[in-house]
Amino acid sequence: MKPDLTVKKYYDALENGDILGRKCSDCGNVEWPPVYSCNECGGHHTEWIEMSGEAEVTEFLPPAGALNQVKEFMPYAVGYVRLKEGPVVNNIIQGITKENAEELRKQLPLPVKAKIVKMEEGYSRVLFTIDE
Amino acid sequence: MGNYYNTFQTKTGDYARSVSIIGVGNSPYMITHKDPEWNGITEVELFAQSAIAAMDDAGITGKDIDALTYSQLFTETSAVIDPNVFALDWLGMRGKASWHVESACTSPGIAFDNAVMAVASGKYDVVLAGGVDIAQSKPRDNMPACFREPQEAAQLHKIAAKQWQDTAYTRYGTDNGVIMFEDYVYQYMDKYGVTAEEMDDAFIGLTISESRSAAVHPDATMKESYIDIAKKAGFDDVWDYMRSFHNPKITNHVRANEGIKYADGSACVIVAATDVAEKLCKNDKPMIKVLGTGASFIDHIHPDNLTAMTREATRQLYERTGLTGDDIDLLYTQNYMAPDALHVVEEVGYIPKGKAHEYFKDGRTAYDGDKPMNTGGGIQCFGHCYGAGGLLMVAEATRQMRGEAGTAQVKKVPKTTLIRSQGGSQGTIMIGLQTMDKQ
Repeated sequence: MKPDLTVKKYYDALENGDILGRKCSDCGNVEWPPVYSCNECGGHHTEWIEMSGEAEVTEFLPPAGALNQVKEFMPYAVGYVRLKEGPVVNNIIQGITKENAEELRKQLPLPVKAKIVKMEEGYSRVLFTIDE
Repeated sequence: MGNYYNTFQTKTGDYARSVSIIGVGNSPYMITHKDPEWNGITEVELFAQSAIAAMDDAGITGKDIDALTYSQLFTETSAVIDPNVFALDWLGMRGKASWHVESACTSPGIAFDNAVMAVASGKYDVVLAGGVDIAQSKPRDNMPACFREPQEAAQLHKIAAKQWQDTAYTRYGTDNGVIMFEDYVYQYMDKYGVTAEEMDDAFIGLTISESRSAAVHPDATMKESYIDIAKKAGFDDVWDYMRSFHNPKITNHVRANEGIKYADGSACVIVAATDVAEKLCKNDKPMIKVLGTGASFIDHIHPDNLTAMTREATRQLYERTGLTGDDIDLLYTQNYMAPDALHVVEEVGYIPKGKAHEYFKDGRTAYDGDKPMNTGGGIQCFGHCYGAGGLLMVAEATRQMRGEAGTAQVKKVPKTTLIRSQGGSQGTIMIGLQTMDKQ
C-alpha cells in the first residue's frame, strides 16, 4: 500500500493559491474538499483537478452580528455555496451585511468567488466573497 | 495464589442469518511521522486507505456498503469527536449510518462484533468495520490533522492514566499496570512444577517465533527476526542475545522485547449476509463465515481478570457454536506482555494443559510450526495499533484461511481460526471463523 496524502496536498496547494478538488473517473462528479471516493456513484477512482474558484450562493442566513461571528472575516453571512464544478457546501460569504442582506436575497443565486485566507496558526483556508 | 472467576455466565442466542467476511485490508504498521512517505497522513486517510483496500478485495464500492463501525481509541489527542462521520465521505458512503466505538484496545474487536450483529440481525446487508490510530503523533494545536508533532507513548498514556489515580473505581492495576499481566505465571508454575528459568525460556522462545513471523510479513514493524538482530550484535546464538543485557528483565518474568511495540496503522473488514455475499462478491475467493463471538469485560482491579474474561468469552462462543479447542487450526491473541499467552492457549484448549511453556520454547507456535499463533508477529513484533489491532487479526486470519498470505502463510491452510481481541481496562472479544465449503 502506498500513502495518498490528500489532506496535506490540499493545504499545501492553498499556499500556492491553488484550490484542488477530485473528479470521479467513473461518473464525472467532483468532490470538494477533495476525498478519495465519489459520493455520487460510491466509486473510489478519483483524480486531482484544479477548481475554478467560481461559485454561486443559493441561500444564506441573515448575518448574526459580532457576538456570534468571527471578527476577522466580518462582514459576512453563512450560506450554501454551489461551486461551478458541482459541489455544494456550507461556507462563509464575505460582503453580505445586515444592511444589504435583504437586497442581495432578491438577487439569488449570487455569483461569488473563492478567496484563500491565511489563518493566524499559519495554514490557509477557503471562503467566498461577493463577485463585484 | 487462588483463582477468582467472579463472572456471571451469559447465554447468547443464535444469529438470525449467516454472516461472512467478504473483504479485508490493512495498512503497513509504522511510525508515520518518521516515515518520509507517510509523514503527514491523517487518521481518516489512513483509515480510508485500508477501507478501500478491503472494498477492492471484495470487488465492491462504497455504494454497496450500508453502514460503518469505526474504531479509534485516541480521539482525544487526535482532537476529534465523531470521526466516523468524516470517514463516510472518504469511502463514498455519505449519509449512511455510522458509529464510533471505543473501549480501549478492545475497540476493534467490538467494531467487528457490532458489524456482525448488525448484519446478523437483518437490519443491514453489508457493514464495514474499521479501525485506526495514529497515536505516535498528534495534530498541532488548532491545525488540520496533516500538520503534526511527535507524541511519546509515555506522554500519551498519561492521558489514559489520569483515570488510574482512582484506585477504587477505575482500572486499578496496582502499581504500573504491568505486574498484574504476569499473575497467571505464578499459578502455572505452582500447578505444573515449572521453574522460573523454564518460564523465561518459554517467553523468549515465543518472542523469537513471533519475530520470525514478523520478518516474513511485508506489513510488520519488525523487518528482521531476533536471530538476525542477534547476529548483527555479535551473538551467534539468538538465545544468548535474548538472555543478555540487550533484553533485560523489566518485571520478574517479562523481558524488554516481550512487551509492546507501538505503531500507527489501520485495518478494515467488510462483513455481509452470506446469501447477499454470494451474489455481491465478484471473486471466487473462499468465503469465510463468522461462526460467532463471545464477550466479557472485567475491571482490572479484580484478580485473574484476564483469565476470567478469556474463559467466559470462550465459553459463550464454544457453547453456541459447538467448537472445541481440537477444532482450532490457527490462533490469534492480543498479548500485551508475552506471559499473557500462557492462560489463553490453555483456556481455549489450543495447547494441552501444562505444556504451553514447552511449545513456546520449542518454537511450535511460529508461522511454520504445528500450532501456529499470531502470524505476522503479534503485538511484540508486528506492532500494536490501539484502534486497529483486533481487526488486523481478522484480516490476517482471513488471508491465511484463503491461502493467500504469501511468505507468511502457515503450512496447512487453516479451516477454523480463533481470535482473541483484548484491551484495557479490561475487555475480551473471542471470534470464531471458519472457511465455508464450496457449494
